[in-house]
Amino acid sequence: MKRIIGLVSAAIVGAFGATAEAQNYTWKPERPVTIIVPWAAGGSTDQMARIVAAELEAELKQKFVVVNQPGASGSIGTKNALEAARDGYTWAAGAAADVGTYKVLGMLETELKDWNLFFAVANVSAIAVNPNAPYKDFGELLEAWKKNGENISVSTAGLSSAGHNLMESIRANTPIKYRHVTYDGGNPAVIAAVSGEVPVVSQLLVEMSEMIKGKRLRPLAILSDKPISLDGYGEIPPITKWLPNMPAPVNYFGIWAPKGTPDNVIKTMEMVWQNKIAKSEALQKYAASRSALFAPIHGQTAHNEAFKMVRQTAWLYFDAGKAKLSPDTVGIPRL
Amino acid sequence: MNVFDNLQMLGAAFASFASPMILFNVFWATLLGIVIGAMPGLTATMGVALMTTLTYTMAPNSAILVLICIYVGAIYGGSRSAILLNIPGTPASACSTLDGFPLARQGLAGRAMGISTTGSWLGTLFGTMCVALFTPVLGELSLSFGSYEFFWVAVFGIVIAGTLSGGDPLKGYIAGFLGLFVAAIGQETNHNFPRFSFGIKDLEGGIGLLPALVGAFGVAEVLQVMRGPAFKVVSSKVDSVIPRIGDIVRYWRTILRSGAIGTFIGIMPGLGEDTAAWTSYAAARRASKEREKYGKGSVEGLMAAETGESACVPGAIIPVLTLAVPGSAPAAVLLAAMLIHGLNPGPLLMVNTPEFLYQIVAMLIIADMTKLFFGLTLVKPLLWILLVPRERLMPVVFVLCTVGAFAITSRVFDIYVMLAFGLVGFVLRELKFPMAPLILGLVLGELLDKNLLRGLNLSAGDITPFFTRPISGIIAAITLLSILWSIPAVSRRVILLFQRV
Amino acid sequence: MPTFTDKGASLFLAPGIVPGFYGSVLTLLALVLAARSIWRGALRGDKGVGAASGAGDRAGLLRLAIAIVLCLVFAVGLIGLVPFWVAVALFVTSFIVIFEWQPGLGAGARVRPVGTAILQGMIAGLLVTYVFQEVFFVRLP
Repeated sequence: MKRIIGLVSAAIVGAFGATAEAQNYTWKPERPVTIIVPWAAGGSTDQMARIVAAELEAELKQKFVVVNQPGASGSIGTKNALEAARDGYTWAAGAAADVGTYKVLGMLETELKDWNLFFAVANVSAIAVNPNAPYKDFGELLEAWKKNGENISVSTAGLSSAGHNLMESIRANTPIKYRHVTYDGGNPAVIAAVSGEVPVVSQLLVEMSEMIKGKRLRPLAILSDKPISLDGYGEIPPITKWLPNMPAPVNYFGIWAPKGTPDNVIKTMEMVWQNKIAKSEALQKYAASRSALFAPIHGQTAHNEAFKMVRQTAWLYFDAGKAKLSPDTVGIPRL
Repeated sequence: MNVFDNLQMLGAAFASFASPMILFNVFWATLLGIVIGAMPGLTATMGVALMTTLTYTMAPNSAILVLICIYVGAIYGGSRSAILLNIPGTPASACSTLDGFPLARQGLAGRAMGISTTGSWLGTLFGTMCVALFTPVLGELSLSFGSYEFFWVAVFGIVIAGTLSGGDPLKGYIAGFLGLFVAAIGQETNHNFPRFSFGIKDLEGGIGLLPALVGAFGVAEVLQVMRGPAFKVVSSKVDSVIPRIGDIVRYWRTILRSGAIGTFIGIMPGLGEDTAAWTSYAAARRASKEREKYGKGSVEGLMAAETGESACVPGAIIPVLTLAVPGSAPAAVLLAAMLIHGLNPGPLLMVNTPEFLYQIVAMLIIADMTKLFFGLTLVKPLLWILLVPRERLMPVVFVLCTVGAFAITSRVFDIYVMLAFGLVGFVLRELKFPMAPLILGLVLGELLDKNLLRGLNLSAGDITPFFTRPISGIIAAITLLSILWSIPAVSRRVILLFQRV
Repeated sequence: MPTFTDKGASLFLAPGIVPGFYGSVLTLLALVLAARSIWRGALRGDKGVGAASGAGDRAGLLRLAIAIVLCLVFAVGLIGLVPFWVAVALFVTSFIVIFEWQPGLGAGARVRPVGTAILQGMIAGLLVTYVFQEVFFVRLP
């Protein structure tokens, strides 16, 4: 009810105040727009998508409905977005590194350049340990991995998750071993380290921040070349402190529609991204509280930034023997 | 912090919700929740997720209150269709069909809904008390359950499944393992290897619980009703709508037991309202003096299922508050909504914002009371459903099943899953295979599969942790004893032994 | 084809272990069921109790067959082919008309049941479509 009142008042304000601004948009959706989240409700992609949906709704005066279609590492929902009518009424949400590597993994015929990309936030991966674990800093953990890594369990959200990719890129950089233990998502993987079922977790920092602040997890390093400071904890050192040659791309999260979507839709969305999303307080607050980076970029810039992560990830899969195709055959050079 | 401080915070929380606008929100949200729950296919998870977006512009506390009302209402609403149509509205109320529908067929639909209302109301109240009193302690409990423990929980679930629905235990076990097998379809997590998908992309994602449930119960029920002789319209007595104090007094043990089980299952991440209902039901059956009535319209059985599933709701919220770990699927969405609104539940909650805990308690109590109100007023209108002849009711039910199966992920594939489960489910039902263990197998399959392999991975192939870790060992022992007990020859001898002593 | 263990994965993470276990248990339980049926006289010559097929049962089977066909036509054929509310209206109306059909009635006596059936079909179609599309924001096929 409050919503309806809100809509009505927004409409009144719109009629007198912001009419000119609203009319600049050449695309005015006539029916609700769907955003497919190819992961379960409540996850980090889902949270991001729901905030973006609410912001878009306020700006374009039309419902943006979030539909969860989990399954097969996000490829089912993405496939459905790819196959839907290209009229701007179906979007997909997710992480750029996933969409960019489905083809290499043989999961879905699509590449990063097939999509009009609109990013909202970027997440960094981190490695943390149970507070009782003996590793004081990342250097000690690295030594332990080198010595008898096959007995040190590391929890992640599964194959091709951000955490697993981080572990694999460390392994590609320096000869270590580790026992990979997969969980149903980032949150359960983090909990496993908190409860002590595994000593080490490798996942997105977003998923660990509350536990770190509550002293239930000790962060050792983040995948970045600069340290990051977390409210209520302090500074977390970058992984390049110990592995200087490690490339540290970040993973972008956002929404996208396949190329072939009408120009006026994309033009409108670009304007919304500049007018609204880039100034969105809700997204900035969300990013700050979850230790993510606010990254409202789109178009070619977005593609270029995200492609770094895709290049790194695709070659990791290939080197680990998990790829069905060599990445350079689909135009993904080594980072 | 002393008791007085806590009471003061609770009072302040109630006071903060005493505005006409907020109460109006509570009203429509609970009713919408009940409707969502009663529609086969629309679940509590979907309802909460839908409303998360719709309440985005509200103040954080009002939004969370609306979501909790939806959650509480939907879990309760699912039993309306379970009792009246033998079709559970949500997976949580599959267990309520076992005794609820037989009661309705005996002309006691009004009484059945009264029992369900009482049970559900008391269950949520019990769980809420646990939230208020033990949240910090119970939250930690969820950390003591790891992969080894969850494996045994799943096995225990399968063991009770066989004997659950009355009837032939052997066929129960077969149906249970069929459910487990269906749960194995799709990509497994260790290698992303697609099992039994035959190159069909949609199958790689696995079989959704919801379309399977709607098929096995909904479609199969439609077919069975159309096949059978036209049953006489059972006019229900409306006199017994108001819950009887006598029921509460008589079954207080069952209510307390189910409340405790439901809350406990709620706290466990990965187990939800469905498991809570089944486990409470099985426990009540085992402890009951009138076991032969179970499955044929037992008041106690229905009460146990309803109390268990509704106590699970507050239970699932406990670890959300203390650890930011959801205890069930709807609670996961609730957690996400809290994060979106900038409320940060987790280990720091009790330090930074202890008043939030009492606001949640107040919200749960408000939602529970509103649910009771609707539970009492909606009975009469709902009884009209029983007066509709099957030729007119069943096509609409089938349409709702189809839309429900489709709605959750908007995939036509799910409609086909529903049809397949409807047809296979119908044949299995004709052959006297119970459907309940099949669904329980489907629910627990993932839990069993993943935790077994993860446990083996953690221990490098050593199976001893499955038996030597304390909690794991206890559940293992209970499971093995239950298997032995279900063999008549063994249980008879044990009873004889005790009688001699 | 390289197996998972060749790629360095541990043996107890093989994707087939758990389904293999389910398969063995199902086989075992099936054998027990078969043995029990034989023990209880499945192979004896008499027809048993379940084989009775009276006229009532045959009518039931006919109704079942009609119901299955109608449901399949609706869910597989009609959905996606015509607008959703039309599909629902057609399905509900024809379901009611077919099952309420009593042979040997005059045209006059049919007006009422058929008319209400069409009415119910239209109401169901429009209401379901409206509620799911406008309240629950499901984009129907």
